[in-house]
Amino acid sequence: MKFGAVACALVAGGVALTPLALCAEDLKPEQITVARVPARMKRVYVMDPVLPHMVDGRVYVLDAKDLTLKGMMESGFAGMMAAAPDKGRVYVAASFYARLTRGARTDVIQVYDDETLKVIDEIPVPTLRAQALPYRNLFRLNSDGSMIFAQNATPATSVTVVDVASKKNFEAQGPGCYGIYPALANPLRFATLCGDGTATTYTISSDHASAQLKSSAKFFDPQSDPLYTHAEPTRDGYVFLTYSGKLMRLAVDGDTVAAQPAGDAAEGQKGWAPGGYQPFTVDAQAGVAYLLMHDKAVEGSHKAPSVEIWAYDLNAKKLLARSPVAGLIGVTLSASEPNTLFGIDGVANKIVRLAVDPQSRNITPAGEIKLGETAALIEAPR
Amino acid sequence: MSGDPVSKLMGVFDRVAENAARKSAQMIGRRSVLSSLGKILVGGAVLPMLPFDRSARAQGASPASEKTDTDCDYWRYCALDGFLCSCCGGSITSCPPGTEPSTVTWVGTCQNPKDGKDYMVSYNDCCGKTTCGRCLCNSNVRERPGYLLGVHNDINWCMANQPSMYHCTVSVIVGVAG
Repeated sequence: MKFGAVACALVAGGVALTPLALCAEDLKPEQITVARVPARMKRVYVMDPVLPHMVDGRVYVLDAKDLTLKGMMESGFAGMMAAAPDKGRVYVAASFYARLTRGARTDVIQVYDDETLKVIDEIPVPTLRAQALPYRNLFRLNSDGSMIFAQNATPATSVTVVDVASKKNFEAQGPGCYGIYPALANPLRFATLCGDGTATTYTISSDHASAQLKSSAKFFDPQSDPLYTHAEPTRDGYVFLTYSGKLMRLAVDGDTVAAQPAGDAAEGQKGWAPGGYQPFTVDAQAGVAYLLMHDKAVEGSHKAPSVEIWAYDLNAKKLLARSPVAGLIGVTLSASEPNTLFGIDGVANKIVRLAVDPQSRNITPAGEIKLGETAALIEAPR
Repeated sequence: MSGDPVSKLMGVFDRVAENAARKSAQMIGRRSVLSSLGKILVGGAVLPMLPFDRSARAQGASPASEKTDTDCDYWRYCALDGFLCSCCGGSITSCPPGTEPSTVTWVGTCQNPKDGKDYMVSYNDCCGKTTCGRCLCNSNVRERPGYLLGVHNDINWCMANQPSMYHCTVSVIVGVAG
């Protein structure tokens, strides 16, 4: 009521800008509130390492329905993220320096509440973490959410294995290997890709204090046609993609990785190849991969933005549709709506929503928001 | 052997690895780098404009004959992903004031259009200040995923410096390939 009286006094004093209604007896002063992300809202997370000022990384939280921005989470320098929607948590690993850009380095996994977007806990980890662009497979939860696997590079490579409940961790050596692919049904196991064309399977001891390693046979050529480290989970393993467009299924739940070819998206399509930082996504239910493809492909164009999105049938090993969607460097499938894709337009700095026609597999625009500076990872985990 | 700049470079790389008692990892990377060096002609490739590349090409590149060390498609930058130190107070081979060269790095192979020769180029990051933010370039000839870390550029090569804050990247010729 005091504020109302002041406002009326200002009007009376000659500042004749305020309508008389402001002085009405029934005016109710507005209250400041703090927004909260609705629990049931389907979320899209966009991780932006903001390359022009890297100490200030962030994860944008968007409403999957219309791509409106609902809030953000800080990801410090070279952050990584992994969402745990069943727990209402998002784990965000980050490096911080005592004097912003200098001083002692601290690495922590920040535990965010996915409604308040507040840090509710922190898990310290060794300062070995790979300070890399936020590729999905550098920071993963295990199959039951009880452990986090964080890729290290000093530049020697290893994996920090974190027990979420106790916050204890240990370093599992991983010479020459990179990328983390948790077993789908065994919480104590994950695999990595290695520079000699093999994969290594890590089996963690029951006390969560050590790991046993077992290498597979060689199954890919890391020089002439490397596998992207991005991979998409299916019911019985992961789908991988090579620079030239060949697809491969890897079963990772056994004590060694088993690889199986899953087709060649660019077969007979001369000059076309995949590109981007998150260059494909898979609808595991339908057995369809959606790939960001560009023409005039040359050595070194493996991160080029899309010219088209191709839908490829992984079971029939057949190209289903080509849709003109340009500029994307990352794409992901909604976990809850199989006919909705979300993408990062890295050229125009936009996040886009795309609709898939379930019959033809043609893809059309269905919304966008101008957002971010150098977004590099997009996730729609529920 | 020790006088050769590539050996020196790789020696640093290996020492870091040895300190962590994981030399085998780096030997894989080193062999891969060395086996690929000198074999591949990279000149003449016309790369598409990439995201995270919003300086020279994004603003309209100079004609090929007039490329300078502040253009993303200057020949030495064929595999450089980062901010050009030439735009940040340093030069093509010097770090800006107050920063320090990274102690570990990776090596690309680029063709100089003037003499047609392939050169090994060390992409050292300059470390210790906040990100420069000017002349962001993104070229990836012969770049490979992180399981070949010695030829990977989506990672902070200031990782072994103290502090490890990334500022910009220089391109230092360390040898002739082939």
